[in-house]
Amino acid sequence: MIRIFSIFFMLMLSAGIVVAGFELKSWNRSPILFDEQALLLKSDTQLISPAWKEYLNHDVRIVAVTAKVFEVSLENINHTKISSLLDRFQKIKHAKLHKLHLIADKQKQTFDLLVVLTLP
Amino acid sequence: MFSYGLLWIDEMKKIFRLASPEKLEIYSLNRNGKLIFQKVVNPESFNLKKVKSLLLSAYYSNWDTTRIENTAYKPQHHTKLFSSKSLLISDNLTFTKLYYNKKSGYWAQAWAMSDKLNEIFRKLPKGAVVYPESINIISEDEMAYWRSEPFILSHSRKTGFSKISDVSTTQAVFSENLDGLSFSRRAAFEEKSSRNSFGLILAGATMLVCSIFTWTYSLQESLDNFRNPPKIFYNDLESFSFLEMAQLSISDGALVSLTFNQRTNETTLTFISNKLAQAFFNEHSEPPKVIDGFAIAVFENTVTFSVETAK
Repeated sequence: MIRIFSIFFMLMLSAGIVVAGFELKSWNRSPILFDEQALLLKSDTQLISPAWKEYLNHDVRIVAVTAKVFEVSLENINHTKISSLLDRFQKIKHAKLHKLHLIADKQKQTFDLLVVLTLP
Repeated sequence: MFSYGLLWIDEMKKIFRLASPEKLEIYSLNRNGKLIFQKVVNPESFNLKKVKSLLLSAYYSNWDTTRIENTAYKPQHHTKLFSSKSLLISDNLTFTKLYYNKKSGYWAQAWAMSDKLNEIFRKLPKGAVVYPESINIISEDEMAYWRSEPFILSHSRKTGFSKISDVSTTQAVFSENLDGLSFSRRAAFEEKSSRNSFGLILAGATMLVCSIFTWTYSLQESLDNFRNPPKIFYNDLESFSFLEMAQLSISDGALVSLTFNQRTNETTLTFISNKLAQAFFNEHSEPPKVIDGFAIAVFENTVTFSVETAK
């Protein structure tokens, strides 16, 4: 009888461990799911242009300088979008902003932006 | 259907006795609990999967009895009361539970070699019960002797269990089998095979696999996050606020570029000409347009603001 109870208890415990594992995973993921900067928390999206495009709402080019340092390059920015883009870069919290270089293009009447960031 | 039921009852009442490796005796049990000998078969050629109750002769098991004078002492049923009487290590032996005969006041226990017993259990169906003959066979006549190889046994009224009789000193005729003797289910050997612990091992292995899965799937990550929470950076551009004030002094198209350097806390404005840069510098280096907290410098067509504390 003790043996049966032991087996039952161990199986229940195993099921509990698995359920707890799934719950823990979803709990781990919840900050990422609700974070608009989740791209910087996942190594597979940190240097992916589409993810950055979604965050900045503008075409970007990502250039990895080293394993941790990378450049985000934006071209042909309309002057009306400059302020919101600068705001977006200032709000980045999962990477260190080192340099922000804003260049005016007189001929096109637009701006180019080059930003250097470092991952933790 | 009815005949099948009778057949089943018949099978249930059959008692088998393994007298030796070459001799398996088949008995039927009558209503009074007496064994009626039927036939002898070779155990090697007999399908033991039909056997529900099996008696083991003295060839396979040993036993002993004792009277415990201290009535306050009640041994646990799993106690190996006679383990010291065997020359074999008790770990290699399987013991029955202790049986107490209320009439005689004697305790009895039988034991057998685990290897041999497990070999027998493997041949039997699950749930089959194996009884040592010495404890479970009763004779009303103390002078009735029977062969239980390699001994001749008789019933002891003193103990209420079987005893070994010296056949050379006994002139009585002994029976070759248990015909006419009573069978009482007193104590049996419990199967100690891996089959019983298989479930426990399987449950343990399941728990281990589940634990490893949870560790690799999420627990390790949780612990890492707990130990090393993600760093939070504050990337406010410190000179951004004054640029809003200074931009009134910059005419459209005068600036070529604007650089915020967070490492050096410097903001550099590059003008299209040295003259425009100098004019901007002159305007903001003297009151009333000096910007508090920032130092200003000019070099050719660039004007640099830096945080004064850093300087």
